[in-house]
Amino acid sequence: MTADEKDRIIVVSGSKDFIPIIKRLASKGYKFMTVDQTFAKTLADLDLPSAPLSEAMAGVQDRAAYETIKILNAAQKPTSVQAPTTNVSEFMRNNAPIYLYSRIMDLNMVLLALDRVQPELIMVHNDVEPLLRCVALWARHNKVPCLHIPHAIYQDINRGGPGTDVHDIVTASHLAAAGPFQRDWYVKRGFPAKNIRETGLPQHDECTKQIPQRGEARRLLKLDSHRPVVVYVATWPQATNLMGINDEWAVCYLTFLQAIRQLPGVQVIVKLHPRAGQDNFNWHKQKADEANIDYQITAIHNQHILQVADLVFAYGGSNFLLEAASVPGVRLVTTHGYEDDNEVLKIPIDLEMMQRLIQVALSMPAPDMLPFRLKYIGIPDGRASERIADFAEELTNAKGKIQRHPVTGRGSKTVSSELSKVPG
Amino acid sequence: MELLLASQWRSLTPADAFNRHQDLGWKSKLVHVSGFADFLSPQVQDIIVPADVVIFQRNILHRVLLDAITYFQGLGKPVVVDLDDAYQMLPWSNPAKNFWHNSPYPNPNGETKPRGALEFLEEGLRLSNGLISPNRLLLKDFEYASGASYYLQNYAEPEWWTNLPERAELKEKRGTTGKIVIGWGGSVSHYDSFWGNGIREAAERICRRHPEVVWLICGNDDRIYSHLPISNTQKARQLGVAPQDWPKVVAEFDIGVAPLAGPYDQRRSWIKGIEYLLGGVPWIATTGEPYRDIAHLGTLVPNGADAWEDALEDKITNLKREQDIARDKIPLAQQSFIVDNQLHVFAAVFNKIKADFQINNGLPGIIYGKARADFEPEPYDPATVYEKEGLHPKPLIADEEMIKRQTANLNFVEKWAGTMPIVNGVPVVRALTYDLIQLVNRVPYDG
Repeated sequence: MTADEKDRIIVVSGSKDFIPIIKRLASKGYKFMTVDQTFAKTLADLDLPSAPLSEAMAGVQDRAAYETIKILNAAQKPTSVQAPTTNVSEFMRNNAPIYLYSRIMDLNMVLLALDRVQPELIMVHNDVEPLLRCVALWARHNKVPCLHIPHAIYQDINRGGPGTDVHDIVTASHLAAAGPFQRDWYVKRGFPAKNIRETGLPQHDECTKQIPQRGEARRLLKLDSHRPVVVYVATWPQATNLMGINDEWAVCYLTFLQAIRQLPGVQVIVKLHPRAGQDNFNWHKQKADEANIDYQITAIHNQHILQVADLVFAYGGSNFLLEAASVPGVRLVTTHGYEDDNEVLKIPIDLEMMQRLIQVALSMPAPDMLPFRLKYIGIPDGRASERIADFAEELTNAKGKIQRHPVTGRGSKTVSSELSKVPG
Repeated sequence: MELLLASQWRSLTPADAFNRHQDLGWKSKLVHVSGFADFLSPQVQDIIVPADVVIFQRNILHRVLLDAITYFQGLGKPVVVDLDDAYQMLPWSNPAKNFWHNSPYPNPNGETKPRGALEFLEEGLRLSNGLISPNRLLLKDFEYASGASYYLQNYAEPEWWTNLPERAELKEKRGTTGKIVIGWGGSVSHYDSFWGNGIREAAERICRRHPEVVWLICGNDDRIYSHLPISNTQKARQLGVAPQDWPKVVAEFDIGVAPLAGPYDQRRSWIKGIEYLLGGVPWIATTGEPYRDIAHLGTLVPNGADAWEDALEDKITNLKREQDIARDKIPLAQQSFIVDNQLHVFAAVFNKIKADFQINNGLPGIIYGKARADFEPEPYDPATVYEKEGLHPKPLIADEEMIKRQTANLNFVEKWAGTMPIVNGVPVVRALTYDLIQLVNRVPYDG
């Protein structure tokens, strides 16, 4: 990057949903640095002006190592913070330094690289995962705008109210909200309302664009055009909240498979999360085989799958139901979540009830989904990326842009020279 | 989406156009046939593997290229062949006939067959996912081998056909001012095009009647010029020029001709016709498949000396009117035959190739499970499923208590992270709260 380009740099996280936004901003002269190395290659293949943030890390290793050692030393000392239980206290004492050892060096390198790059703006698809919260924390401290463009619309499922879950921690300065529901969700968590703009989310722009014809999609997926298709949206447990640490999600799937066995005319597609992993894939496949039903299982082809679905079934508040809501004629079913939305049928995890309600749902016409879509994903005009790009540009050009604090400690320092200053 | 094409008209021109207009969602790379032969090389794979459609332009001439077709199909790529010449019926006058029809063909058993290159071509077509051609007869000819057929014409380079010099200026340079220039240009494959269709006899008659007519024969095949039965004072020779300079030669013609003779010529593309249209040249061609789609923009005649003579006479007699009409058609020609303005046609063909491949082969990344008639699954008992499957049920703890514990864990992790050293003012350890809370949540609760 040349010195002239420095003032027009935006640091982005590795979300492919950002690509249309990045294209628009690139056409206005912005350059990009990516937190994710692979995403830098993706952007380069699209001839977008980008480089990985690691390019700014040359020579910072010594300083990063020095800071890492300081943190590891502190982590090994007794803490003044009272742990909720003795087991947790012991766990932190024994394991926290080991955990930090494997992670903190990378984060320190990122911080020092950001000090060099001094971007105009940071865009992240969440501000809770370590690398992304790290860049958001840097932005907060250096008073650089950090725009959070959520990769999902969170609900209060398997968790308590605001302030009880890690996803409630807000670090970014600005938010591009999907719609009124998400706006309210973040306002309740202390996000300044004036820093939220309802733009819609880029991942929903695709839903409004042309998708394959239903007949062709059924042919592509080798489905019988005369029999109903039920899509099961698979998931996996997450330990970010105690209320989610159980395998009810698995029993839901097993119950579903049994319900489908008793509906022999129904065609089933098990749709895995693209990041689910091989173990998750194997487990879902094995259980479908054990249930002895005809099925298809895949982690991709969302657009084709939505086009062929008559009913989409998800455990908990899956965002896939929001995509499904964009396709006319699809019935939405869940076990919990979307509590205030009659458009989504709630089914208990009970074999007989599940079988009956799936059958009933398939025989009913699909409700009008427009109010549901407006609530969760905003105006479905396919222009969320445009609005977000405009928002991002405003943040870099805003009058009274936050004065950056002078950053201390820049420049390379050797570990030994710094250690020589540490007493004892 | 990406194309791979392995000739100016069929490969380079559309490839460059797509790369100029990547906003349409397609881009293109060219790989020499030697690159396809080396299909396992990392450098070659870096170019080919990202492609959505792979197109072999003509030269399937070796077993290793057949292997390449199969290999890329195995990676989920449709591989189609592009042909713009009737190799199966090359006339003897075409120097390539011996190569395509008589070179030895070593099959996997070590036997050598005649029709060497054609055998490879046919085998390649059978392996491929279809044939692209700018001529419908050619598609039909090879349907037995190719299966799927995709009609895709030739389109011209934009820069070559804009801002052409005026005809008067070009004629002055050549010294043909005051003459009526009847022009034709072509490669060595066109010798037969001037025989058996009456154009040579018509040229003789026209030249006797019109001493101002000069036939300008362009190209590197001397035979067409030499064997044209007219006085040397009424014919001129133009040797072959670089492709980008050819439009300036065409623009000099007062009248253009595109004679065809026999079934081989009927399998050509419309190139000559669109060149005349882009150059603002009134033109006459033999009736047939090559110019069928643009027949209304020129004069097509059935072969025969009288038909050619009448058509030429009409053009000569009404030259100014014909040239005015031809000049007025240039904007339409630009819109219709310049490649950048017709990329949607290409995109439609390539999308169809992709869709046909997917329909025939199924979408990648899907596993299909089939119920077995001979298998009876174990009965499902919801009361014991957690235990039987080794799953963890929800703890029998009130939600309020769970929320209280979770909040306590979260507050602890955040506070603890906040006591750690900062880096340049940033509480970096707080970035790890997301991972730390997952670890802490799994610690058994000791009350």
